[in-house]
Amino acid sequence: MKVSVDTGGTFTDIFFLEEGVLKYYKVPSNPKNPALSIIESSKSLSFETLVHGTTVATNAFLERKGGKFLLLTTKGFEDVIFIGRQVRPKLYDFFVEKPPHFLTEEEVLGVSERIGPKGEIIKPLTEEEIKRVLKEIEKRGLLNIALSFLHSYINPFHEKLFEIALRESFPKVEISVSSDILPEFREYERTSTTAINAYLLPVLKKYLDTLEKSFPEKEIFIQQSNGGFITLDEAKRYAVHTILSGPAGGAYGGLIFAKSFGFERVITFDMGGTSTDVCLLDGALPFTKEYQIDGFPIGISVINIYTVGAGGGSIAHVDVGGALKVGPISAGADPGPACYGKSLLPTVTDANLLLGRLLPDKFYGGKIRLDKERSFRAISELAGKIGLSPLETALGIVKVANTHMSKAISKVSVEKGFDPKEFILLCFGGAGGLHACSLARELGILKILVPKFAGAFSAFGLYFANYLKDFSKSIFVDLKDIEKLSFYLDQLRKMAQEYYQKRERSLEEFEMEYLVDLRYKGQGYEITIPYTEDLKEVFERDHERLYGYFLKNYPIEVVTLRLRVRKDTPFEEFRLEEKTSFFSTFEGEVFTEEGFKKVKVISWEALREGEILKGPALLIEDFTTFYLEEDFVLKVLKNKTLLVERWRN
Amino acid sequence: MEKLKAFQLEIFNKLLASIPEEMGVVLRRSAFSPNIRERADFSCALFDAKGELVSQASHIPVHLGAMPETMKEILPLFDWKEEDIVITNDPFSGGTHLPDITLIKPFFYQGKLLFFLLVRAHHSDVGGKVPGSMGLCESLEDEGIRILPTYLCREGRLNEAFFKDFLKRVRNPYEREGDFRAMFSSLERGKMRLEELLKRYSQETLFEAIEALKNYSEKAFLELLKRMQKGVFTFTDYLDSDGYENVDIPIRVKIHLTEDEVVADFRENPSQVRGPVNAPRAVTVSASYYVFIALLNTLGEFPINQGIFRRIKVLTKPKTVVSAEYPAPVSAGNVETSQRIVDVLLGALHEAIPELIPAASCGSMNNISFGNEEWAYYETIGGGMGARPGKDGLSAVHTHMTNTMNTPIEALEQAFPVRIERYAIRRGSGGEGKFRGGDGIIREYLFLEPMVVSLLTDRRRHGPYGLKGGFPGEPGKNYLIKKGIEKIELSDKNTFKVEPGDKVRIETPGGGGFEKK
Repeated sequence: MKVSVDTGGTFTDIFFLEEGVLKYYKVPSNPKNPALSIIESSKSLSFETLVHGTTVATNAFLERKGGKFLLLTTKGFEDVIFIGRQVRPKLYDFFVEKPPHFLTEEEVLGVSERIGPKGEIIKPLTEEEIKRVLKEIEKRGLLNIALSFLHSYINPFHEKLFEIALRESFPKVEISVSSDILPEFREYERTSTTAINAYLLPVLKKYLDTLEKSFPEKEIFIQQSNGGFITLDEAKRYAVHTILSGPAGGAYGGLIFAKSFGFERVITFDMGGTSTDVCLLDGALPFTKEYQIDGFPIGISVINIYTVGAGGGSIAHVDVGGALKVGPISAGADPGPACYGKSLLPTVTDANLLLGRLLPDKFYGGKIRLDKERSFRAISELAGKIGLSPLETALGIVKVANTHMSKAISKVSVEKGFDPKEFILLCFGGAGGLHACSLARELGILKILVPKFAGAFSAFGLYFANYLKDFSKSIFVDLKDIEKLSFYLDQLRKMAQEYYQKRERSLEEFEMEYLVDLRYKGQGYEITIPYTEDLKEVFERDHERLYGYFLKNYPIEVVTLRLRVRKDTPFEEFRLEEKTSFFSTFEGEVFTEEGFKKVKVISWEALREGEILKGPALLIEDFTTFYLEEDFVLKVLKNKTLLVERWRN
Repeated sequence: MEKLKAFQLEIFNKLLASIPEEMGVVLRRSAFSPNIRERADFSCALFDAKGELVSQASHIPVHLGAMPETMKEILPLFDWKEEDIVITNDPFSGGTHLPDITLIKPFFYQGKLLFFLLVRAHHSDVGGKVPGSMGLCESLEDEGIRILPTYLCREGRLNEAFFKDFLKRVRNPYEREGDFRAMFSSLERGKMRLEELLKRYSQETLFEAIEALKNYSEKAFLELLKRMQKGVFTFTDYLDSDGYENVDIPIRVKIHLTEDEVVADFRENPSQVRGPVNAPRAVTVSASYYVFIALLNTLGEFPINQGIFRRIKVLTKPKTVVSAEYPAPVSAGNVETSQRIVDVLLGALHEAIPELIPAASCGSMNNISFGNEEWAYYETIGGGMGARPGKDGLSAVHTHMTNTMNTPIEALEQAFPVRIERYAIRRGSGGEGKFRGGDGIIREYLFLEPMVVSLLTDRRRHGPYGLKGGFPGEPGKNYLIKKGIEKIELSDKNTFKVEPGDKVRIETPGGGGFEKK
C-alpha cells in the first residue's frame, strides 16, 4: 500500500486508498519535529511507499534556520550574492529593509579563475589556487560548500575541477554546484539558487534521515516544487527543489482531478488560513523560473503558483484615508480570529461567521465551537469607524478579500493572455468554498468544481504524483543551426544518462520529454515550449498570445534546453467511505446585499450522486463549507464532487 | 468619501492600479534592450480625459511627476482620435531627458474620449554625439534627436516617414524597433483591460470611483500635513560641476508648510549652465512629489494620483538649473540634479518632521554609457543609502529617484565586448554615526574594443551629508586605468575614448550617517 502525507502549518494530512476506498484524516502538525506527526499518525497503517510533501525546507528558509556553509565564487565577485539586483524592495519608503540575508561576508571565498561568455578560459584555475582554497576550507572546518563561478552554465570545467578536488580531500563534504543545480545564465539568480540549496541541505537531510530511520524498509519519495517527486536520496542532494513541495501537490492534484471529470482548463483556488494559492492549468502544469522566496530568487523550474496574503485569518482594518483594508497581516492559528475566543481581531472568518456563512457549531465537524458574539464585537468596532452597520462591514470585508483573490486569479490568467471564462474554478483548502461563487461571478467563470475532500486535497495530489527530474543547459544557439542544436540535445541526454548510471539506474526506465526556451535574439525573457519539429511556428503563436505580436524574419535564439525525466503513476479509480451525517438538513439565514436570505443547510454526507440543488444553500463538511449562492446551481457528481454552475446573469 | 463605500475604494484602487502594472509586465517581457528588459527603466500610467493621473506603475520615481506634466502639456495640442499614438521625448514638454521616449494613446469608448494610456521607456540610444546619448554635451542638439510631440500613429496608421527617419539616426535601429514594438504591445494591453473594465462597470460608477480615489488620497495627504511642523524651511546643497567648469552649483529650496498645502519654492537657483546637469521643470516636480509620497507612505499605502498633487505646489523660475529651457543640455538633470533636489528637500524637512527624515543617500545614479557608431549600452550603479532615524542605511542599492536593476554580468558579457573585472560593495564608505550610512559599490569595466565611454556622476567632491551629528558618506571616485598600469583619477562628468585593455573603475558614494555616536 501507498500513503501520501502533506505536512502543513497547522495540520498534517494523511491520504490513502484502501481497496479502492479513499481515506484521509488530519492530525495536528508538530512544527518542532514534523516527523513525529507522521510517525504517530501512520502507526496503525501498513504501507510500503510514502509520498511526502514537506514544508521543512520552506520553514527553515523563512525562519533563517538553515545550516552553515561556504560559498566559493569567482574572485572579485564575492558580493554578487549580497548586491543582488541593486534594487530596494519598496520605492516610496525611506525606512525600507531588505529581507535578512542567509549568508555573511565571511562565509564567501573568492577563487582566482575566470571563464568568458563563450566558455573560453580567460584565467585558468591553477593547482596552487585549488590548494590554497582547500587549506582555507580546512581551517574553517566547514564541510558544506556551494560552488558558483561566472559563466559556468556554458563551461562547467572549473566547477567540476574544484568539485573533484574537494571530494578527494574531504570525502564527507556536501557540495552544491551551480552548473549542476541550475546551469543557466544570470549569475545572481544561479548563485542564489545554489547557495539556498547548500543552506537548506543540512536541515532537510537531518529531517529525511529521521524519516528514513523511522520507516526502514519503506520506499520514501519527496515532492518537489515542479509537481513531481524524487527519491529520498535525490532530495537530500537537491534540497532547494522542495521549496514549494506542498502547494505543488495541490496544483498537480488539481490537474488530475479535473481531468478525471473531463476538464482540461482549470484555475485552482486554494484558500487557507493565512494565504491563498492560485494556479492556472491549461491542460498541463505551468512553470516559472522567476520564483522568489522571501526576496531571494530560485531559478529552477517550479510550478507557477501565485500566492496572495489573504486567507480566513486575514485581519481587517481602516486606514487614515478611511478605506477598509484586509490583510496582509493574519491572526494565524494563535491567537486566531476573534471567534476562536482568544483575540478581538476582526478577520475574514469572523465576517463569514457574522454573515451566517459559517456556522458556529458545525466547524471541524462540530468539534470546535466558534464564538459569534466575539466576532460581532470585533467587527462592530470597525463598523463604527466607517459609519456602516456591522453586517454591512462584514460584507465589505468579504468583498475586499475577494478583490485580493480575484486579482491573484487575474495575475495567472488575464495577465498571461488567458480568459478566465474558458476555465473552471477548482476550489479547495478550508476557506475556499465560502468565496468561490462570488469569485466566479466577478471573473465571469461559469463552472466551479469542488471535491468533498477539499480539506486534504494536496495530499490527494501527492498520492498520484509522478517521479520527475529536470535537467537543463543554457546554450545560446540560433534556432536555424540544427547541427549545433542536436549536438547539445545529445549532450543533455548524456548528462541525464550519467546521472542515472551513477545511481545504478538507467535512463531507459523513464519517459523523456525535451523542452526549449526560445526568444527573439536580443530579448531578455524566454518562452518555454515542448520540443517539436515546428518550433518556429509554435514560438510565434505563443509570442503573439503573450505579447500581441510576432516578428516574421527576426532570428530566434535557443537559450536553454531542458530534459524532463518522468516515471508516471497510474491513476486509480476510487470511491468514498460512507459516513453518516451528524445533523439533518435545516433552514438557516445568511446576510447578503439584499438583506437576510433563507438558506438550506445540508450535510455534505447526505448528498447523492446525480442530485441537483439550487442555491442558496450551505454544504457542510468536517473540514470545509461551500456557500452555494442564489444564482448558482449544483449537480452532485461521482464521489460527492460538486459541479456548480451559474444559471442566472 | 461621498457615495462610495469604504470597501469599494479598495476594490477600485486595485482594479485601476492593475492596468498600468500589467502594461509594464508586457513591456518588460517583450522588450529588446537590456535597459528595459533587465533594468526595467520605464513607467506606465493611466490618465483620465482631463489629463489627471488615475493610476501608475512607476518603477522609476523620476517619471512620477513628469508623466502628469507631459499629459498637461500635450493634451491640448492634439485633436485626439481613436487609435492615435502621440510620441515625444521633448524635455521641455514635460519630458525628462531625450532617451526617455513617451507614447500616449487616447482611449475611446462608444465614441467618447475617456482615458489616456501612457508608456515611457529609456531607450539606450537616441542619436547625438555620444553613444548612449548620455554624455558630456553643450546643447540639446548634441545630446540626441529631440522629438517634439507628434503623431506616431494617426487613427491606427503608422507615420512611416517619421519612424524610418528616426531609426536611421539612432545607433542600434534593430533594438529600437524591437523596443517600440514592446511599447505598442503595452498600450494595446492597457486598452484591452480598459474595455473589459467598462463592460463590467458603468462609466458613471467608474468615474465616481476615480474621483473618490483622488479625494481619498488627498484626505490622507492632509493627515500627513497635520502631523508636520508648520513654517518655512530652507536648505542648500551642491552639485560637483556641470562637467565643464569645476565649480560648485548650489541647489536651494524654501519649503512653506501650512495646514492644507506644501509649497516647494525653487525660484532662487542659478541660471541654466553649459553642461548637462540642467533639470527640466518636470524633473523638479517629480522629485518634490517623490519626497512627499514617501512621507505619506509612513501612514499607510495610498493610491498615487492627482489627489495628492493638488496639495503640492512647486515654484520654479524659467531658464534656471531646476527649470531648464531650450537649448540647454539636460541628460544629467534627470539622473543627477534630481537626486540633489531630493537631498535639499529632505534637508529642509529634517526641521519639520525630524523623526521621518534620513541622512543623504548616494546622491548620484552613477551613469555610465559606452559604445561605438553601431551600438550603445547604458547602465547606472547604485550606492549607499543614508542612515535613517533608528536604522542603518542599506548598502549597494539604488536610492530615491531611481530603482533600476543591474544588468547581470553574464548577460552584459554575452551582448557586448566588455568584461566586468570586479563587482563589490565599497566597504567603509558609509558615513559614521549612531546609525551608519550604507556602503557604495565598486564596478570595474575592461574594454575589449576601442569605444567611447561617458560618465555622468556626482558627489565626487561633496559626500552625502549626515544628520544630527552623523558623518557624511565617502564621496565617489572614477578612475581610468590605461593598459592596466597607469591609474588616472577622472572628474565627475566625462566623455572619452578607450582602447582595448583599458579599464574604468567606478566607486560610488556611501550614504550619510545619522546621529552622533
